[in-house]
Amino acid sequence: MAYLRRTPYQRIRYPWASDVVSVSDVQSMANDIDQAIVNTQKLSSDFSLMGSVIAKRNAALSLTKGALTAVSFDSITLNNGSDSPLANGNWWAAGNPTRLTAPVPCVVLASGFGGVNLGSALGVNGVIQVTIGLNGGGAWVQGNKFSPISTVAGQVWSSALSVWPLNAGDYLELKLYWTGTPAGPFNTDTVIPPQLSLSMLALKSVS
Amino acid sequence: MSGSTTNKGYPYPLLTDFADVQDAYRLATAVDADLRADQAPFRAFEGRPSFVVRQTSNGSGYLSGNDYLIFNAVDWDNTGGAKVGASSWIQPNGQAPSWWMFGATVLTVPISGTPVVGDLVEGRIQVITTDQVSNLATTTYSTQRNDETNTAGEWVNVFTMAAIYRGHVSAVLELNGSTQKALSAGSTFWGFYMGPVT
Repeated sequence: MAYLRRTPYQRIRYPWASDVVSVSDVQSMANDIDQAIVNTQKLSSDFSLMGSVIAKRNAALSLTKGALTAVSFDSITLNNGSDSPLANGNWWAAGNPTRLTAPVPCVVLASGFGGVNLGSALGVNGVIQVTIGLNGGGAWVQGNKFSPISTVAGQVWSSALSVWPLNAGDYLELKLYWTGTPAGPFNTDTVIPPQLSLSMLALKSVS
Repeated sequence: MSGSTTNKGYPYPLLTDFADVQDAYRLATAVDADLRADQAPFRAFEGRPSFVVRQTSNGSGYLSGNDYLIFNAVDWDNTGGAKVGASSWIQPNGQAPSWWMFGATVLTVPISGTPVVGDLVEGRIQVITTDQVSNLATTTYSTQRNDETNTAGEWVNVFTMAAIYRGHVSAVLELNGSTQKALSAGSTFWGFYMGPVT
């Protein structure tokens, strides 16, 4: 068998000019072409399966003052490609209703949005915070925090965009926080309810 | 080698040709290049250029002015433009003028004194792009302002879309106040390619 070289992209083995060619060289080359075509077919089939999901919390959720509360989703309004291992069939499961879990290594754009129905105005030190957090703990969070006008009561919202590199099994959660002068608790808004939306931007396996 | 396949034009020797070991090389490289070309649109979509970086330690405190998010950790980068220790993502030089989307969560941490409610806190995306003809660079900003609340640090979520060529893009914290604050560990900056500018 010759000392085989490889092509730059598909890594197809081939014998070089000074080699003595054997049958096994042709077998190696044929097998590599076969695998390259399989890889191309996989790229083609995955192309249509880049997943996306929209999870909402329609029912009122009580938010305790000063506590970062994970939103438990009760409505999955977009869940495309549910039979696909690549897409979002397993992004959400009733057993872990706060989580959107990545089925494969990927990069996602995540839009988090949350509203609080203020029963009374928050006062000068009041804040509303929307948080998108990775894997439950506070190790990595992205989000937005602002202070509503101190006399405003009723519906107040905040939103945030974020991008996350996820490994298979990593999960994102939407968390809401408020603090201020009132004791609370306050409910999430049910007219425009909290929502976490994910869309795959890229697969880590493709370069 | 004088024959070629009907559809793809892959080269092969005819029975009248002398056998040449380089026939294998020519066939392999032809298949290689052809499949690579066939995969291009899939790779462009599934391997979309993107990056996510973080500052993992608090910056130095200041009263007024701005500071750049430092890339202490590069959590994801398939562009080659996000380097550990840098403060700007650099667009690949070979990339044609392109649409990108950028965003950041800029966190603040109090350094000294009790933060004063209402002091200015702004997060910015700073985009520097180059004109293809004149080679002049221009700088633009996109800003979100969430002023000081004195509740253990501020969070500013800012994002923008930009058409860039040989671009440099950064996340920035702008402050104007009477107590020292800094960019906090955990501040995150990201971007992803959206398509060519035609």
